[in-house]
Amino acid sequence: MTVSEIWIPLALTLKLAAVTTILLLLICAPLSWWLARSSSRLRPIVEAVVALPIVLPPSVIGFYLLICLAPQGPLGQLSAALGGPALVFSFPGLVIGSIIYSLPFVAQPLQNAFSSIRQDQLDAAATLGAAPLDRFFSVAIPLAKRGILTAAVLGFAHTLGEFGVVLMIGGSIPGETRTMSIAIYENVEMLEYGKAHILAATMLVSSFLLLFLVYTINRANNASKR
Amino acid sequence: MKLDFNLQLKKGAFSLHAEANIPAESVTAIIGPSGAGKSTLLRCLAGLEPTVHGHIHAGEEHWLENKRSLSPHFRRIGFVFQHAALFEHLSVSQNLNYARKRALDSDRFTLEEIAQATRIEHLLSRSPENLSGGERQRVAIARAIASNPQLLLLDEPLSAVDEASRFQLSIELDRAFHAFKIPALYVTHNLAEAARLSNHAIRMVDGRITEAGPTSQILAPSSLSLDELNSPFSIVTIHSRRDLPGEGLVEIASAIGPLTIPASALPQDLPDRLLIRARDIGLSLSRIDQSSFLNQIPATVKTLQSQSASQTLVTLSCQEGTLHALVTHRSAKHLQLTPGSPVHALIKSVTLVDQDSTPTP
Repeated sequence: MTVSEIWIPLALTLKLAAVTTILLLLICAPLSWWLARSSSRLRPIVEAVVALPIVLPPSVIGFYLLICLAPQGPLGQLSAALGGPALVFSFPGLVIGSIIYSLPFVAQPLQNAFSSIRQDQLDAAATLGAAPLDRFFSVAIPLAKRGILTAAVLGFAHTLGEFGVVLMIGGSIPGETRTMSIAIYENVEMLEYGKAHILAATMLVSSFLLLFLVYTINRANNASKR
Repeated sequence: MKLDFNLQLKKGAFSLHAEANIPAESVTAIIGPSGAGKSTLLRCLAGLEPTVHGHIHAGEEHWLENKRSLSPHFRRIGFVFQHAALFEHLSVSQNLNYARKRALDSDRFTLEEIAQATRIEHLLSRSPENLSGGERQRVAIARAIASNPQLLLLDEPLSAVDEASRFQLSIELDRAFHAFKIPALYVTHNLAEAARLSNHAIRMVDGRITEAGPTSQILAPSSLSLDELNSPFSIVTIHSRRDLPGEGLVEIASAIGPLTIPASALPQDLPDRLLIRARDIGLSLSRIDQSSFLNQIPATVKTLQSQSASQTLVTLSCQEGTLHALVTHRSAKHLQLTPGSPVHALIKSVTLVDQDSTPTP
């Protein structure tokens, strides 16, 4: 097995997880803020929609995504009309799928972090002259720092482990949609157990290292606070 | 800055309907039982209750007109919360800088002056979580002042502070009010604190303002409820002081005439009001020369009011001031006290804070 046989799917998986996590943080910051602080009647509906990917089988998400992202589907047509790329069997399509698949794993920790910010901290900022957006960035974000880190790690890790959705909408194009989990699956299908072992072990070790790093940073943060 | 408001707010079963005119340059105490809406009134004035309507005119500015409300960050108020609400992710000096960076007016005081007046210079590099309750409140007060407010709103700033630091902190608060000359509204349970720190008072009951006026009038025993009357006191304005360092005493000129008191009872530069508890005043028909009482104030009986099964509250006028004395019915009868009787008020001690009437919140 050559190095590129490991590296290409690994790099793709890491890139997918990183892009997805960054986009999810940007999407979920306002969404979770609203969920945490709004008393709107729409809130339970939005909360249920956000939580759906936890419950649904990846094949269900993948199936609907396939319909939406296909060239005749609404998102596929939109992308084509805007001169964008094809969305099925492509990296951009995988990113969209991953965002939906990992949404609750980022939105929920953020929502918890934002809900635990005491109202008087935000009120204090308001009386000291901070406008709403200023309060969000200067008070809410720093106070929710640990929740943001948790959300980022969960989103990243959950995207790393994604399989069913990728299988449905990505196919297996090397360097484009052939992620680690797909590569392992195909090697097993072809009875290439040696290659599957190496790829699986790589995933196991890198996932462990990632989580270990996060918990070490978390611990150091806690220690410096005491 | 003159403050004039008429506010209506419904919050569940509670409704607030508060209307008042607060004179410029005053420190106003808001007193009343728990649940009267004192804190809610303060939050409405700060713009932190979005559903309030009515009007708030602050000087020339309209903070609220029907439902058009000026956002809190434009009102230039300093709000001191009951539990300080310091930013836990910032150090003490960063907390002050947070306020200063966003201040709208030109700086009236430097951060150094503010830190010095509130005695937090040694805390500047600390994190809020390592501060005691009293220190947190001092930082909160400093932070509020650092934002160059045109009005300070304080929501029971001393209630989360332990008993021992409360008195010291109240002295510093008094000092800050004087040093920075910022008009303030101050919610408190503690009548003695209200009496010493404020010159104007508002009484609230069930979401309504039932009384407003000079503190000495609102807190006069005749206008207090039975609960509040447990330990009546008089508020005496101080005009000037002269220290007698050799004896550890200080001579003061006050509204009720000259008084000589231990210097330890009266910190330098403060306060401009003294409290004298009614039970610390004895009455005599003539001056008693052979006695240990340093302060024997000539006075005239104004009213007599039965206070309990055994005691009478005697209200006296002395020069331009008023004193309240608590004596037994038997003594009142023995001395044949009636309105107009000339007496001498024998003052046993003076205090800055009525420790005994401090309610447990």
